[in-house]
Amino acid sequence: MPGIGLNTGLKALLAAQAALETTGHNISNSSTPGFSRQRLEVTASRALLQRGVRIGSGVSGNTIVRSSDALLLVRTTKQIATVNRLDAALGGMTEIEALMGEPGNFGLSSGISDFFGSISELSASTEDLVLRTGMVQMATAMTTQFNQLSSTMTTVRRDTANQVEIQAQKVNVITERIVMLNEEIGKTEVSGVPANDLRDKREESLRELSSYVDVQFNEDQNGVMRITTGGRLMVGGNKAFKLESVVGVDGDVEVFMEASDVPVKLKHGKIAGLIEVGDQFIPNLQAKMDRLAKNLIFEMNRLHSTGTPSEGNFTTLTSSYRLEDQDQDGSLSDELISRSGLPFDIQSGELFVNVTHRTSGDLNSTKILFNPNETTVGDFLDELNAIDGVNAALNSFNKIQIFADAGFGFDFAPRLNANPDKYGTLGGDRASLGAGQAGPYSLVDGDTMNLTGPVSSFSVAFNSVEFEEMSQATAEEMAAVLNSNADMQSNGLRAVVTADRLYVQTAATGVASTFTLDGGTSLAALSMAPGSTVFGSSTAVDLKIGGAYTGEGNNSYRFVPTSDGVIGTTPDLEVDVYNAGGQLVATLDLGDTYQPGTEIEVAEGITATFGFGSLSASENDSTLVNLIADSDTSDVLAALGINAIFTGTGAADIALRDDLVANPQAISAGFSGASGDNRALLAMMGLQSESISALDNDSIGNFYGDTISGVGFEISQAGSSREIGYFLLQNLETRREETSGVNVDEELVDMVRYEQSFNAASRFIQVLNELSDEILSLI
Amino acid sequence: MSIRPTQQSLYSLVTRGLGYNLSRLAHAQERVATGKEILRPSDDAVGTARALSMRRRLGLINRFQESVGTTRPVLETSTSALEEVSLVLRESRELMITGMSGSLSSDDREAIGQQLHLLLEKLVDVANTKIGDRFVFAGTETVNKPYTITSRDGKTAVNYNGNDQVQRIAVGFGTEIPINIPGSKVFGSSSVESVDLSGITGVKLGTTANQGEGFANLYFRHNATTGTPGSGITLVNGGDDDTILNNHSLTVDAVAGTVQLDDGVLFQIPDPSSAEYTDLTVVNNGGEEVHLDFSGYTGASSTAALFGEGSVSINGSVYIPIDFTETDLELVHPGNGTVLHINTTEVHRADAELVSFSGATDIFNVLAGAAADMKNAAGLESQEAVNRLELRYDELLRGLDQALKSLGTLGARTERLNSSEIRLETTTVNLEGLLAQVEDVDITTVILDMNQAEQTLQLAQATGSRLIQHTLLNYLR
Repeated sequence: MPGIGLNTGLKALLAAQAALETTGHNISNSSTPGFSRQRLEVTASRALLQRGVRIGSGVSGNTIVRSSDALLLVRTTKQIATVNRLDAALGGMTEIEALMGEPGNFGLSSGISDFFGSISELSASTEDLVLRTGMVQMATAMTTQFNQLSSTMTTVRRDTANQVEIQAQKVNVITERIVMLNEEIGKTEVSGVPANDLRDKREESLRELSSYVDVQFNEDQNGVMRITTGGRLMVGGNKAFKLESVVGVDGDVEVFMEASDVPVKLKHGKIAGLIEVGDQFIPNLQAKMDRLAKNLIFEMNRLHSTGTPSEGNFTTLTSSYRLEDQDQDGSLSDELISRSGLPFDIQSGELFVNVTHRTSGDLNSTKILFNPNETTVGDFLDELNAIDGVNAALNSFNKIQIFADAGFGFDFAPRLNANPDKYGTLGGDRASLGAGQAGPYSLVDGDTMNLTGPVSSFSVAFNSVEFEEMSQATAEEMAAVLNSNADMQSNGLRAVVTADRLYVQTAATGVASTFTLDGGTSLAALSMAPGSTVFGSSTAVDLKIGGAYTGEGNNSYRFVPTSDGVIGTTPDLEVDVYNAGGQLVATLDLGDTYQPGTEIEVAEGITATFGFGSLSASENDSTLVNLIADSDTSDVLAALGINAIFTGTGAADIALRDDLVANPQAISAGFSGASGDNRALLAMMGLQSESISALDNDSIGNFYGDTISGVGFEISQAGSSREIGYFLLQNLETRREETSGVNVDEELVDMVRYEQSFNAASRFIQVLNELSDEILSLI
Repeated sequence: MSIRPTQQSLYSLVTRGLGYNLSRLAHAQERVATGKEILRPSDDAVGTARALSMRRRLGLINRFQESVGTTRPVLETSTSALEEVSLVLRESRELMITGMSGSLSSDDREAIGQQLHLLLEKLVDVANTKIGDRFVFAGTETVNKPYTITSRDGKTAVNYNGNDQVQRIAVGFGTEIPINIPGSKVFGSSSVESVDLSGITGVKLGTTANQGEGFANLYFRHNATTGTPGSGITLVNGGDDDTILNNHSLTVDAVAGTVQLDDGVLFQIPDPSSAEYTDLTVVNNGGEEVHLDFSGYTGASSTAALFGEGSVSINGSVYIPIDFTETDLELVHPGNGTVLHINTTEVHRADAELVSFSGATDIFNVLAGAAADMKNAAGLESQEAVNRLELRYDELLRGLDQALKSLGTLGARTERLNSSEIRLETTTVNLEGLLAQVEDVDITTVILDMNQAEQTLQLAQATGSRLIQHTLLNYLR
């Protein structure tokens, strides 16, 4: 009997002792991270039948269990992954944010403003060299800011890639550890004893792991944990699959699982956050900055390229962008200029090239037409070379180089030709007869023109070989045929073209010069009357164009007299002025009330002054004045970087053109080369508030402002998501503490309780012992 | 609240609370220290965009204000220069009025001419007014001296080296103000109005229009006198020294002993012993003269027709013979493109005719011409000189008008500049206010915020310290 009782007592002692030890374990681990409170599971032992009664045999405490909540763990790891992703992303983003230095006085925003400000200052006194140098410095400061932003972003991106690599290694360490823990837990629990502390360690590792990558996990019946991430197995049984990070050629970081070439798509965790910064945030921002820089370069170059420096026009210019032989046939000339590797687009449009004779000041303006689908590099060079006084060639770097002949200078400014009637087709002093309409003319093969000059009467035939398309014969083609005719030459006659009209003229001037148009089959197509004899005159009408063209877009005015008469003398002598669209814009009264040499308003800021002389409507007098608002509507100068202000194609390489840095006088401030001409600068200033279609119809400043505010918005959004995430995580941690945390007071209470149990059990044994002693004393 | 709080959760609760309140305090401190509500874009993304845009506008406006600042002295200098111009021209006007009075001696006139020349030099100096590096009347050729004065052979010429361009500066969004008046508009020709002749040779304008600038000299040259004077009288040197052109009649009245050209003054037939007997200059009312030799005088009365052959040229370039029936003779000066149509039917005298293309001359030319006329460089008779001066005088008045108009234009520009400046200032003030609202800290709010954070922090510290002290251990023994 005492045996059983003693045993009961012993069990109680042992149970109390185990419980006390568990309490001690709990207390000592009360601040161990990941520790779960443990407690001894105690049950009453099976009762034994003694003396017809079932008497309990005491307590049995055979297992120590930990209190943990598996579901809570799943939610906690998820939240850890989310918070850590945001945390890592924010780290990179705020670094970039700080780098931009906005809003403040040292950011790019001020840089851009200061640059435009320096243009404005210079425009108010263009002759001030100090201000020119100021503009150069401001431009350099701005481009440097662009460059630094771009390069620092690249550096941050590279750092991010490095961090991903380091963190992947950390992940690998953790997964190795989990595999080891898996093994130990398996070994321990196979004997049915729960591996409480090992499990705590494993859970802690899991939590650590989930701060790097988002994990899904489950446990098999043997207590072995399988972990997957992004749908790929990371820890399976006793094998950990290693993570590897690879930086691609485009700078993107990708993460691969060991023995797989399909990148893992991580959604959360630090690594995902870093990748988000490195592969999305920074590249997006860089793309925007590049777009900004590219458009700034292009738009500024468009405005600068048509200006002229204060030194006057150019003698040589070289493009800043290289042309590329796209089809690799060894020849660049056959490449379309719009598809020869230039960073910018070429529009269908026109380019005006002005060549000025340096001593006489004679200006010759030539229009080159561009069609991005037709004009080749060779065509462009040929067109340039066809202009008197200018030569163009490709240099050894495949850049276009334009030279002026000695004594000439060239520029691309929207100039107004003050003396537009170079052939004297409007009241000149040559005998001159024009076609009744503008070309092209519908000729047939073998059409003739019969003329009588001072030497002989002759006939010129037009043959189809001399024309591209006989039914669409251009005035130029006809003039070429006429001018190459020997009889024309021997009679001192020539053919010229004004406003697509064919004119036949004597080379000699004065009242004695004369010829007769006898007839011919071509006359009907030209709307010319046969049998007309024309004479020259002693005075050529001196037409001077003045003022400044204020119209939008390029145009031209054609001056056509409505009757025959002497300027300032013949009553009702009028000249009609038609624009390029053929609409009548003005009728100028040059009759007896007009004093030759008086300036008269035409339209759109243009004035005309007619000198003395006679005009003839019957001889089809007319002349053309080109009115240029934009002398390069094709954008070819900006695309090639000819007379550019900036070079480069993006934020990383935007720079002020080298020779402008060395020589600020070369900044093209105006359109005329006059020291006080600031028209190009005013146009450049206007760019600041102009909306640019390639920048989503925003201005330069606004686009940058939007970009900055976009960055701010993204960061503040991520920041508040992180706040919420933290709050949720803390909530979860609190919940875990509720279940698994150690409350020292509680443990102390338990300690007192188990101490008392132990005391009671000892007392019980003592009582049993005393009982035994009683019995033994009977013996 | 937790059902089962543990020491761990209490500690983290306390630290979390302390951290939160401390960061609130720090944020408030940061805002107070910088005075800015937005320190980084993420503080307020929308506000950042607004602040940036406003800063941009402010920057631009500051530049505009600077431009106004640089422009004002230019306009002011131009204005005071033009005021001086009008003074000089007024003085010249007075001098010319004096000079045209017939009562002056040629010495007096020469003195006036000298004075006019000095005024011309002064005017050129004013026209070359410079502010900083900029000549204000040079168009956009602002670094070149716009007017240069050259004198050769007693003739003075003033040349304009500027251009006709107007320089504009931006003083507001889309507002540009022209800041200069090119010298060609101030001192240059106004608008061609008509052609005037000083009218001593009898030439008239033809029917066809003319073209030219400033002044031109129409030279009528006497080539030969044909016809024979009656009564045995002969022409001296075959008539080479005569100035008659076209048809004239010479009447000898033997009874009265007089000889008369046309309806002119009666000249006494000289005494054979006098020198004049072989060379008597007979002048008519128009001032034409014939030189007569009375050596073969028969003593009879007679009336003879004399005809002066002549040729004409503009500025002495090419002389063409005059056909005195021509009503529209075209004369072209190949050098400067002057075209003049004249009616020669009434030309009667060989002399230099001053042609004025009125309104088409620059003021320097007028002054130089007037000075030369006063000095009578061409050796003209006094009536002719006065005729010429009258032409010049009209031109001077036009020049004065022109200068006053330019002054008015400048005044209007100064007005525009002033109103732009006021507008810019108002905009600056408005924008700065708006920017401050977005960007700057409202100190009272922040201080309040800071106080609140501070109090909460202290409370949290107090409660926290109490909370973590308590444990059962204190009571177990």
